[in-house]
Amino acid sequence: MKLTDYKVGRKVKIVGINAGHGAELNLMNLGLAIGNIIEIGKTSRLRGPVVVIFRGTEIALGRDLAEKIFVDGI
Amino acid sequence: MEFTIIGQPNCGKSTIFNEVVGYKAVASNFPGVTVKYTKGEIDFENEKITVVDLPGTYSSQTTDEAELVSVKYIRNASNNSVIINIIDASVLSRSLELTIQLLSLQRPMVVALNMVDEAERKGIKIDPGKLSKILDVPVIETIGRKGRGVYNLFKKAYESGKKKIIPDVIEFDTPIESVLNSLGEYLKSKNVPERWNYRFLALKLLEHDKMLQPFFKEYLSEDDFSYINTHLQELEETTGKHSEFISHSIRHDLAFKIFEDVATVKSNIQKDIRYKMDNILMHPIGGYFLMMGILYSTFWIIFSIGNMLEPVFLENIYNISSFFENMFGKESVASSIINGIIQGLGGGIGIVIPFLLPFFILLSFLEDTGYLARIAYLIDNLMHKIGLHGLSIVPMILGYGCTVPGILATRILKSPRDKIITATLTTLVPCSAKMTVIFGLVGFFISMKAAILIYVINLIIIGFTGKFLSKAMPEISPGLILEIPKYHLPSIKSILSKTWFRLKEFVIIAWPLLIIGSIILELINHLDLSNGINAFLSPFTVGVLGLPSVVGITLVFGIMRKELALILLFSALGTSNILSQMNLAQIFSFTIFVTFYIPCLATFAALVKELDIKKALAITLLTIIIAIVLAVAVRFGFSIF
Repeated sequence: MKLTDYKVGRKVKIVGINAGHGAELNLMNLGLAIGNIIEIGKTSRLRGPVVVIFRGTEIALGRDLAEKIFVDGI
Repeated sequence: MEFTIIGQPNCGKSTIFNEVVGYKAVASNFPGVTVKYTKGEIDFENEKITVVDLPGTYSSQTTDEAELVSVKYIRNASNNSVIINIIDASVLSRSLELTIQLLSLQRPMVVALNMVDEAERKGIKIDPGKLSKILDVPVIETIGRKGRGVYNLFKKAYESGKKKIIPDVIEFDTPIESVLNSLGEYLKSKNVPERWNYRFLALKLLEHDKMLQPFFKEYLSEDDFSYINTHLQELEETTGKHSEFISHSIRHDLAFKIFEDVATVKSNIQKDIRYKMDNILMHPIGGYFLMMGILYSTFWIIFSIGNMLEPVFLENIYNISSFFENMFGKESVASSIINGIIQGLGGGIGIVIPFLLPFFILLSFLEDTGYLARIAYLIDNLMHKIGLHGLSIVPMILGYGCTVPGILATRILKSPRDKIITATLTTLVPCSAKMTVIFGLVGFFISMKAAILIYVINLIIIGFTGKFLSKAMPEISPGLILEIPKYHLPSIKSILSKTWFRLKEFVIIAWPLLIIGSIILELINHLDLSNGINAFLSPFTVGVLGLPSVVGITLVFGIMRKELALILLFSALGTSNILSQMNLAQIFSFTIFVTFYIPCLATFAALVKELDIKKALAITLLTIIIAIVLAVAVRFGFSIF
């Protein structure tokens, strides 16, 4: 399932990032890596970004990027 | 001795820097790269110490332009420098990933556990003694905003620097360490100089570090590289990860382990006020209305202050120049040049103090509170429609004050394509000088509504231009990845220093050009060239735009300084009652033309600096085309009604 398939408040585990090398590195630098459990913090209308909560920080991810992050609901 | 302050974005680095260095800070440019770091000097224990504040960096494994500046600086720092690593205690785990990287440099280092009050509010309690033991460096709790712990931090840094205390590295798992070890030995056997320690160099081979490639290439042959690569491939097979990500994910896990060791988290923390505020300010519908309200009131405040102050300044400038006219005689070359200098200086002051100063102060306020990041979040989907993402809004908002800092702010964008498009759109944004023309002409002689209409037209044009450019330069940009910072009550010090840095960009780049431009203008006046220029331009001004031929010279002047187009229009027409010389359509199309055509000289210089001369010229050409098309459309649009 894609990150964007889940609703606000759900906790999910990142199982794959299919957004290219650079984007994966950028995500890792912000602390988001495969295997991490994140919470969906906010979603917006009209293909706006998704905010995920991870270890006390909130990170906004553009919709296109969020659709390339694969997660499992837990 | 030198103290180098480094930390992740939003960790409070600059607050601590400003606390210590105050306003003695000077910005300097890195050769080749235009992103800035800040340097200052302090007296500590009767010794002069240079303090450097580097741009916020999440990791040393990065592709970000600003972050690379930090990485480059810290790697090449002199032998007697001490690393001061600032950590936001409330996001300890992530912050430690950078700390582990810094430790691998094997340099004297201290850690500031900053914003401990914030962390406690979030229910996180950290044992600094334990952390210090694990990291093998002094760890000092600080609250930068209140200056707490800062003296102690610098004292510890001073001691570490004096005694040259090198911390232990934090070791990875045995299989990786043994690979690093054998790679290090290999580098040593190949006589690679130990500019950095061998473990660090081996680590950089593993990470495919781009910055160090030329260094390795200098000392290693093709054969050496293939030997190294087989080693790395083996490691990739055992770990199942691309070697570039191996150290990254180890650090990630290591940092979390350390975090669990030293921190206790109270489980049921109440969702703090921030969540409540974000539920309102980032609301999917209400958030937009609030954003418009906040931006509108911001601009309203700036405009009111500006309008109040501007006449005061302009009046004094006229008094000064008439004083010199009396001294040198009205007709002399000297008086023209002096007049030009005064006009240039005065024009600068007339924009800086009434408009730019309040603009930058309010913008820094919005930035420091954390609201600017929320604007980027809210606007992201809209910006997507024109092929950009939320962060591009920041240079464009700055552009409403002055285009120059706006263009320079495009550095925050990672992709070169995003940078070019954003710089183009920022050029189209009406700056405060254009604002004085819009409100002084259309607002005054037609109506306020018509003036606002120009802003609306401008937004539409920006939208279409963005759409067009993103179609012309198709490239999948990585999109928005942005940390939403906590809300902070900004400190006055930090707002003032931010304001000062942006003003300085205006002062250094734009102001000298204003002065030179004004001198040229005065000389044109003195030599009485304006009639010739007007006649030369009249096929265009009269024929195409349908304006009186005397406006030709004002358009030339407008290239130097946009607001001059307004002032000179009065003198070119010989009256301040413009309606007696121009009809409404002419006023409107003149203003539209001035708003869009050719970026001013200073903007052009900034474009050359940030992009290159070819792109700057292309953008200029584009603005001329847009201006002509719109002005002609207005001319014929009006005649229909």
